Amino acid sequence: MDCREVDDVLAGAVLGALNPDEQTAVDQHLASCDQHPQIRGFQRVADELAASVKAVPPRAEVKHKLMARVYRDVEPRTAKFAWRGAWGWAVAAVMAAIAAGFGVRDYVASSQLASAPAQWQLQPSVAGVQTTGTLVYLPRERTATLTLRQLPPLPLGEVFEIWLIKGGAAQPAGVFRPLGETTASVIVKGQPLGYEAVAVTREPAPNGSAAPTTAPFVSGSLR
Amino acid sequence: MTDEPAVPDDAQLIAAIAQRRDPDALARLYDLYGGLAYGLALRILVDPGAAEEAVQEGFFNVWRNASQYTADRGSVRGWVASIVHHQAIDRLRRLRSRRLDASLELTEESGQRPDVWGEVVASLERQSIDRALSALPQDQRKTIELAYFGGYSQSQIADLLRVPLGTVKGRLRLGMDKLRAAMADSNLELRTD
Repeated sequence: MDCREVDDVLAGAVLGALNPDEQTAVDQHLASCDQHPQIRGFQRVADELAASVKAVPPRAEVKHKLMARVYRDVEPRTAKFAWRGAWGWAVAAVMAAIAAGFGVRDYVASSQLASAPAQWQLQPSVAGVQTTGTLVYLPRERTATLTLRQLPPLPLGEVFEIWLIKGGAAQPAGVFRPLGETTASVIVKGQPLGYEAVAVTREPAPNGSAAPTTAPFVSGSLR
Repeated sequence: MTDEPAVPDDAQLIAAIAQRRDPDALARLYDLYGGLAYGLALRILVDPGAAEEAVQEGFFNVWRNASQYTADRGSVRGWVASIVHHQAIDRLRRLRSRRLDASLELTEESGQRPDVWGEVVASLERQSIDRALSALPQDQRKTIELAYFGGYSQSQIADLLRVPLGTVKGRLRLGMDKLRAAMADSNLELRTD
């Protein structure tokens, strides 16, 4: 295609109205030619046409499936951050709370091979905190969602960080900031099966910490 | 660590995906534009299941191809919408290709689709370009609608409307040129962030 031919079909190309061969020819031409500045204006018209459609919230499962696919696409983490010795008490606090019955296993699929969802409850780990939560794992999608209620106020410069715990080591599993709300529902990085506990701490914003620097305020057993 | 963490803007989210492969950035982008994407896919495909697939595939393409986004392309929102639009149109055409009597389906379907432009105009009024759309000759509006929301190729539109292919190309070009000019004249803020 030469420039004249491209100009002839450029509006159709932006609107997605070319057949595949035509579209490929236009794309190849545009990749090496800057003589078609009108395409920017056409693209912005198309953007506004898209934005003119009423937004419709998709089902939550769509995001779950998308993020499960994304996490599968990410190379597995190889580094595992040991729970610092100075914070060993925090691990002990979590495990003690669990042993005392604060962490309640609702349901774990037998032999952990079934495709039924698994669900665990989280309870406050420290005095004065009312936070509770539910961790739901969908084996088929390999996605875990943590919902927390009655979250405590989050100081400026901090985020909440999720941890998956096994053998005295804490694996970072995502950070979030609920933007003024006391309830949050977040996708957990990694799969909870095989871990002993899940916990949440406050950590420095924006990226959290490699290992916990504060005591968990809510936790639950994954056994 | 005492400053309030700034909420990342769209460009920062795209950069986080492209440079760090940060799933949280994609999740945030989905939270921002998942509703827009699904609304668009649903408009085109009508079927909720097919629309969900288009949205999921579109955002996964965003995840895989974030490095291809450049600011001169326009807004991140528009870029995401264009990817989902492509996915939806691709699915729609595959569905149509399975039909035995495509021409009959085209004719019947074109008469059964919802009043797309009525809704588009209602929304665009809020964006101050309603006059641009309403000022378009009906044949140009109809041709753009069949292309963008109907998923028809220029050749199919020519068959459907029983006009020469050159006429379809001309209507698309003229209609888009007028919309572009009208949006510029009305000082509509074209989001570029």
